[in-house]
Amino acid sequence: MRRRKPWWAIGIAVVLIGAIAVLAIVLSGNRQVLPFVPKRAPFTFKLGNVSTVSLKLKKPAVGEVPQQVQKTLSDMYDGLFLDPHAWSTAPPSDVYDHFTDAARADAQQNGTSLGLGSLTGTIKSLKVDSSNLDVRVLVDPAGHPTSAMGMVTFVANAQTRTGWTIRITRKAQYLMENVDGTWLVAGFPKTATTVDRIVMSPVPAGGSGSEAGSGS
Amino acid sequence: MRTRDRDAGTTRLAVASLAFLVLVVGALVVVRAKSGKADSPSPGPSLTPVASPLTIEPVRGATFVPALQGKRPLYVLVLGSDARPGQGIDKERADSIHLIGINLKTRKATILGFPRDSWVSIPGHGNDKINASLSDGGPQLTVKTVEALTGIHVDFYAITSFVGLQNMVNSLGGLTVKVAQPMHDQYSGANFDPGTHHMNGKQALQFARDRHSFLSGDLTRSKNQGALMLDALSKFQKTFWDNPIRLFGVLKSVWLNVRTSLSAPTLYRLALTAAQVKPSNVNNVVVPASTGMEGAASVVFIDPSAKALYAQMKRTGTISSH
Repeated sequence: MRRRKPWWAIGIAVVLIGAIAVLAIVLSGNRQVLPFVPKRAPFTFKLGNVSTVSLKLKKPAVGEVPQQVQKTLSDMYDGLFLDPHAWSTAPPSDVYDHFTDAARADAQQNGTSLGLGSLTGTIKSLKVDSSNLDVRVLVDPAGHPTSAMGMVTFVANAQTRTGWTIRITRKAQYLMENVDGTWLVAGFPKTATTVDRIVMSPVPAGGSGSEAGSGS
Repeated sequence: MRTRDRDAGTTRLAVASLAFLVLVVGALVVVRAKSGKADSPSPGPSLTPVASPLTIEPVRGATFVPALQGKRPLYVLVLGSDARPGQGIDKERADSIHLIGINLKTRKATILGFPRDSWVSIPGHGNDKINASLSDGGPQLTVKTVEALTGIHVDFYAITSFVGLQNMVNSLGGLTVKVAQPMHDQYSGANFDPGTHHMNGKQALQFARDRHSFLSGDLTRSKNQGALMLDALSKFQKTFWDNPIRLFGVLKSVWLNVRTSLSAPTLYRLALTAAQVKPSNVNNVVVPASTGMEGAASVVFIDPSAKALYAQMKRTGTISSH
């Protein structure tokens, strides 16, 4: 007579393996692999004012330069601010693909400062409140765009691990250059960030109040 | 018997499932406790500050601006033509002749001024005042003259006019200039008491042209012209670092008001380099010289000791002491 395997033993084994797996995932803090974490939509700056400075032509054509600058800076900010790795430890390494060779080493040295800075490790979640990108393009006498400046305003609300709601406002200017057909960040001459703690107003019709924060 | 076995199996499965549920719920509670408060509040209406160990510190800004790179120093000959409106900028004589050396590694620089009446050898034209080289053969001949005099290879030249200088100064919003001694000169129009002056383009030109107010005439004027360049560097840096977007406007003003062998991309990169050279690291020097006569002409004789300065500048791009 063939002896059947006890099916309940198999059931318990499966359940235990599942429990161990869930425990391992949860306790490691890597909650991104949990199936219920929604996939993030990539961030895109709202493209604002576009202007040109021409060394010769009165009305130079800049083609898709503003849109390419928009793409590079949007992808960069996605990594610097919206990737959960940037909240906890450091921006993902592919953020530095958006820099020229000359700027990359410096950008890597200033990795966290380009993004959340001293807030790294304190953020539990972060959502963009508003953004704007103005682009100014320098056109050489032959009519070729040689450089561009991206002026960024980026406002995000974040929850800290200790339960605070803070508003992060970044204003920055980025020097952009065309490297083999791709507009990359060649310099970051100006970045200023303010952080304000938000305390909700008790007034029913009101929005949020803001405590004095800290400057750049 | 089979039914009893099945019942026991069902019970064990139920127990195992319950244990699994307890494990998962327990794990979630642990995680929430780890990430802060177990009952992390959504920001509800409250005026009470939340006690928290978190200190919000400013996010320190980072800055980086690319600069010209190179193993050897860079040399630019900067000329001021005395061409009036309607005259060819490179067909008249040079009122201002300065060789700027930049050490790209140390980001130090020197402005070396040559009095316009310096008696020198002009290649192919014999001896003459150095400013005649411009009218004799354009900026290219002035470059050759300076190269022959100093032994330094000039990488680029840039030449401007009276109007060009005024336009560039005005595009920077004027310059803050220290006047060391009274300057009251009907020829240049300079009318300044000692002290700090905010000068517009016209006043800056008057300051740069005046030589009658000084005993050492052209030597002091050449020094003043170098000082004006330093003031322009300071103002440019303030303009750029306050609001980098203004770089392009400054570049346009320079491009429209100078004639230069620099390409637009090199000028752009040179401007970014200049933004990172501290004015305190720029030495403003005039070649050691004395006035004298050559025939009926009043000229300036460059002192033989200048050769040591040329050698130092050729080696390092700068002159450390003079």
